[in-house]
Amino acid sequence: MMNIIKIAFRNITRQKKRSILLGSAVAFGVLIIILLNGFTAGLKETMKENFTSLMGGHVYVNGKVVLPSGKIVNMIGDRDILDKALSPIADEIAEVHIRAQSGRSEIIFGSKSTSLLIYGVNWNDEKLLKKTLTVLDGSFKALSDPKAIVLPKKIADKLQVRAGDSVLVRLDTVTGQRNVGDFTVGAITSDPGSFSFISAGYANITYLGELLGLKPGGYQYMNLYLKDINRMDVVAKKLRDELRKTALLEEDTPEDTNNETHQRSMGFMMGGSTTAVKPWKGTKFSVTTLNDVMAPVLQMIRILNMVSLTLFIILLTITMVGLLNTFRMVLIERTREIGTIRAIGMQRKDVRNIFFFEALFLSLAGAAAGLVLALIGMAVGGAVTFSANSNMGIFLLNRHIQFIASVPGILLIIVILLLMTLVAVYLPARRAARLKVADALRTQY
Amino acid sequence: MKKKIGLLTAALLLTGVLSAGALTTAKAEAILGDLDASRNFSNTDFSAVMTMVTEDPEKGIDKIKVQQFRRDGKDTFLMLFLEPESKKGQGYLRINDNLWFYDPESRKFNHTSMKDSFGGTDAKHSDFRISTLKEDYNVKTVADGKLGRFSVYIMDLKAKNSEVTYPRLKLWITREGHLLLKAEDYSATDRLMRTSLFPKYAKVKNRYIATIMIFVDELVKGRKTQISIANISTKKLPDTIFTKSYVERVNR
Repeated sequence: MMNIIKIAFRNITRQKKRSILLGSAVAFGVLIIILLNGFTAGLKETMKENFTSLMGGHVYVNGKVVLPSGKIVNMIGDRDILDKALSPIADEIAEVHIRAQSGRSEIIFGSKSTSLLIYGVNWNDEKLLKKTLTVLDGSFKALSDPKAIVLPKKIADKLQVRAGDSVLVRLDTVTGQRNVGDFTVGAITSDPGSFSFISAGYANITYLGELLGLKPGGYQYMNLYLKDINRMDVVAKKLRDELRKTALLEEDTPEDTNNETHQRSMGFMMGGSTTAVKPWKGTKFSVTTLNDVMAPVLQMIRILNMVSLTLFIILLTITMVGLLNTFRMVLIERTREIGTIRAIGMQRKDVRNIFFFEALFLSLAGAAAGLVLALIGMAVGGAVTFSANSNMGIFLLNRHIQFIASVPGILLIIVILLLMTLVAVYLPARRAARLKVADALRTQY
Repeated sequence: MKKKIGLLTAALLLTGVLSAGALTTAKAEAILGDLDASRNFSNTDFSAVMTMVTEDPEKGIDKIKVQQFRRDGKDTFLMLFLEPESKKGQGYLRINDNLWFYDPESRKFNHTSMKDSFGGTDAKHSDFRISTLKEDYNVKTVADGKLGRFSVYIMDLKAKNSEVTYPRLKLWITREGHLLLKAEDYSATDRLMRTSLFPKYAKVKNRYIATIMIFVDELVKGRKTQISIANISTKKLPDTIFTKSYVERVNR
């Protein structure tokens, strides 16, 4: 067997140019598929990270309350019900974050102003958020001031403010009244890529809640960071089941389910209010997960994966047709040689195996080159730092594109490649093995 | 000397009491009703061309011209942009308690809020619909005063519920004719947010209509909008004007 392998290896080096061209074609195909797979895998993780940071967790609970006038406002009124519903899943939760959110707000400094989404957070609980934010000016210590606000660099630059400056925020209360709050810039953070595509500021939940017209201690959203991100759908289902026992859930009414997808994707981003067609009593809860929010993005990634797989198969098919033709030529070139080695005792299966090994070595060498090039491409692509204001913010993690090379994914690609190689070479190899010794020796080319 | 100071203090206090008591709350609320009636066109339609000039310290000066159609009896209006060319054909249509924004490029209607600013100006959509001061506010205090050469009532109003856009208003209303000359809008934290001035009125069919309105943003230094109204008409408008199909058709 070793001799066969040696002969196969030697045969590759006999026609260097042809081998290099064939190997390059294989390498190109492998390079493209590994790069695309690395990009989509990285994109998926980047988006998960971005949305988790932006939304403040993996499972999100929000509530809607109907005012006497019939207007629906976003707030959680029955906190006891929610606290009770959380107890059976307490072991699954790493951190609980309560938040408020200014739907439409404008931040003003002198004659400059810009729109800004502001989250009211409890700084003592939001340890992960603090980890995500990199302070460029000021410090987190300043956040002990209840009127302190954390601004992303992009907003601070636009307003030309520094830590310690006083700014105004114009917003609407949950009932729709206009309001203004005085804030002091406590810290300016780098747009951490995580959410540079949405300019979000952070303020103390007590003060923001007061400006939004929430009752003392009131909040609008509860976000759960789970110990295991893969359990989010299970935890969300358990929480829904618990809440359904004592409260209203959005999915329980047909008019809610009709518009569910839209509400899930938009509910957190907008703070608008509408009038209830059929008013209800108490808080109507809704429980959504990171997967719900990311559903359109995951769909996009799935499509991208399909496209890259199709591209890989097309490239591979073209390469394999090239491989098939090459080995047909090889068969013609080496007919007499095959006759000779068969005459001195080589078996048919050994002749076939020489062809198989030769093709496999060629593909493996091409795959190795493609893999190395792809890893270099990933390293170079991942090292590029994009501007903080880049329109690609949603695809960036810390202002870089993230590539993830998955070992099982790469192994799968190589296995597919080798199988297709064997299929492509099968016919010439079989013909070579079936050559009659006398006929082969008589052949003149 | 002490006696003189005492007399002066007493006189000032008496003046204050008199001025504060110059108008009863009931009379003040009746004036608010008059003001609503003079600003609303319950029995007729209303159309006019409005020119809005916004001065913004960052964006500079922006001018837009809008054709306004109002039917206050049904709390309906249509505002069609005439200028600039980039906004021509856009429109805001209020029907059935909904405010729609039409963009001729996408040919779509999008839902928007009455509390949003109108076309990036300091005016709100709610500034162009029916006035409901009497319905929305209680009169907290009334005082006599002067605004330029006009004798005015200065009324401090408090919103009746937490859903009224501005929780507190301060109005300067002429004693004669009960015309609104100035208004200040305050936030829930009682900060002055916007000052509105109405320096010029025109008489149209026995009622006075403000033909110049100035809205000053008190939070963003240097930002203000002046609105001039021309081509005023109170003739009946076709019902078709207040429909989505009209807004689409007028753009073809």
